[in-house]
Amino acid sequence: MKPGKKNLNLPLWAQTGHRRPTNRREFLAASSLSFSASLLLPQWAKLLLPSAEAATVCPSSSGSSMIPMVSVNLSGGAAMAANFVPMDQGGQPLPSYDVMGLGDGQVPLEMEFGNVPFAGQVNGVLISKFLQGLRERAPTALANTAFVGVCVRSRDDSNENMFSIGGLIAASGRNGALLPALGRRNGSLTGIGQASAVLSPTAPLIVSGMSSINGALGYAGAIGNTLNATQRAALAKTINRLSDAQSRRLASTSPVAATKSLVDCANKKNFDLASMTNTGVDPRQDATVAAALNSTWGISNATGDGTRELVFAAMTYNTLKGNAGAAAIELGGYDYHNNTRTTGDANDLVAGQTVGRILETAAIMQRPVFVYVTSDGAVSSTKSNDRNSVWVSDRGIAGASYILYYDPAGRRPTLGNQIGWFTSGQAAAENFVTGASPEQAAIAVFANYLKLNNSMNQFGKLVGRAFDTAKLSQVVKF
Amino acid sequence: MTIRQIFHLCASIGLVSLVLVSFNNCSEHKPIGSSLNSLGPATTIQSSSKEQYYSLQSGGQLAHSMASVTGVEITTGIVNEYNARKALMSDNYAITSMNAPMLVAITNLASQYCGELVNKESKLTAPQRRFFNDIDFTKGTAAHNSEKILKVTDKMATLMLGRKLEGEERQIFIDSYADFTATLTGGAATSNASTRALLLYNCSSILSSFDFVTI
Repeated sequence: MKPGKKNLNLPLWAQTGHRRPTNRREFLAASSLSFSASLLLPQWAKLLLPSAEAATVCPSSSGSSMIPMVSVNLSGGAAMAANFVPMDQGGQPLPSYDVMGLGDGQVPLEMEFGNVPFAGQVNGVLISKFLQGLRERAPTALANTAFVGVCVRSRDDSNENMFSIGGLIAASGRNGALLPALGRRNGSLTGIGQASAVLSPTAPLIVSGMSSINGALGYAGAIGNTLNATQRAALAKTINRLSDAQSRRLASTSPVAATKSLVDCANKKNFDLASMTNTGVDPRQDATVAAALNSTWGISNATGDGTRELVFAAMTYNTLKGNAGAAAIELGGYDYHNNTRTTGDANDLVAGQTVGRILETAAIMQRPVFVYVTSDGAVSSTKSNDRNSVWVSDRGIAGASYILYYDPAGRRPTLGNQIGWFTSGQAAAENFVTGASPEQAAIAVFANYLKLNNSMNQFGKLVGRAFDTAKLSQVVKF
Repeated sequence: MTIRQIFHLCASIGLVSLVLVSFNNCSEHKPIGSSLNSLGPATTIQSSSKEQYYSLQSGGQLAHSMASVTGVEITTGIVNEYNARKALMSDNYAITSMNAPMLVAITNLASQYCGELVNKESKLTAPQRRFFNDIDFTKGTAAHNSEKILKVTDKMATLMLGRKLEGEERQIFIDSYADFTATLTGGAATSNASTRALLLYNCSSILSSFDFVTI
């Protein structure tokens, strides 16, 4: 074509003096893939266009400003409503708790978290082993912790209750600076034996040992065996420079420039990681808090890689520090209706100790933490006035979940300590919005999370019209 | 209809077919057909700027793409590395989900393929090799100057990215050759292990680079 004479009937590649496009990138550059690409990418095309809100700066080492969240799932159907004692619609004790393992309606109560009722003492012994565990392991954190119980029916012994809010938490902006969300159960997107409410999270890093976290941040594979540390750092630098050169074309428009920054950030941090001798993910190596954390969790440098307490400590620590997104911890053994109270009490104690340690870790690190405790179903006792009657079968209609929120600045006041209520039939009330639906209950929990973050403006955007204003005011307790 | 419009239409139709065929091997998610069906008859399709079409390959797609371009068999080592790292790789295609652990995971996975590739080709005679026919696997990097390594790397780029190295990329690999050989002390530069390590280095770089990991 003669210079200066533009023939608009020629394809773009010819107009701009390039050779005929032959590969995918060149077709893109020639704008000839637009239609076909749109056809092929319908579900996730929106993901390709980063919004103006997309992060344009490298996340700081402390990660997101949203409150860290740790969920604890008690797999099997724990007696959560026989630890926290649910009340009726008027806030009064039920006429009887005799199939909930607590006897008649005159259950002795032990108040904690301000004025939250737990199954109290008989002959000087606390009935609620969950509370006992909390008190044992969170000696300083409890004073700054608020508690809300959620009355909700759920399916017994099932992985399909939609209790997990991991996807919503991530979508609200709680993501890790170094690591994705952390989970425990292989093959589960939520990292635990619960299904997702509203949004599925991206796959978590499954933590089977401290090495799972360390390994995620280190070079391994063939380069781990073949290249030395200096060569690995040089490799990261080469990849960084290469990707920078290749992604530079992204910077041509404003929203895409944000993506370019994000890609640069990932590459830069990759280089940083390759050069680091300590990635700061092992709580035992944190000079500031290691001694206190070791004491709280009962761990040391000699603790075995896959030891439960070390795994939970590492998951909690990295979530609180901002290295990771939400942590999803799971404890097994809660399908404990074996005609005794012994097994159930022992496991409830472990649950309380675990949650207590999480709260105490937050106190040690002086970070807030939102803890969400769930189970799948619940249990029933023999019908008895015994305050410790034995667990004999599943009874998901008497289910509950818990919200605990630790704030270093002091205990947050709550508008009541119970979402929904129990009926005289000793079951979560189905006629309340969250009573019969784990997913609705999870949304209510998420609403409280957003409220604590002063981010209620995200609620409608993320969950749609799950609750109208009136219902929202009934479920938000912070 | 103008020539340009005809060209665009033909290219679009042709590429739909091309991509449908070529993507079949690397999609671990919904079949393309289901994506097309899910559009529904009333979906509005908008044409917009080219930058929209950058997205990350999922972990599964990357694993298959790396196998495809290197031509190596998926070994137990590769499978183990993939399983250990897949949670860190993209599963939602969003380029905004790219983070440093993801890049580490991709590089680790890439290195497994590259290690297999180097092993495989080192056992072949030079004319039989697809990637490294200019390399003497009995000698160290001292016997392979920057120009020779660049030529090999350019061939890797052609076979892996579908194009030759561009100007800035060539300079990056010239610099990385200097960086890498500077780390070789004593007699390391004359050991054939250094050549294998350098090839692994460059191959892993290309398979971990932005152009390879994005769609």
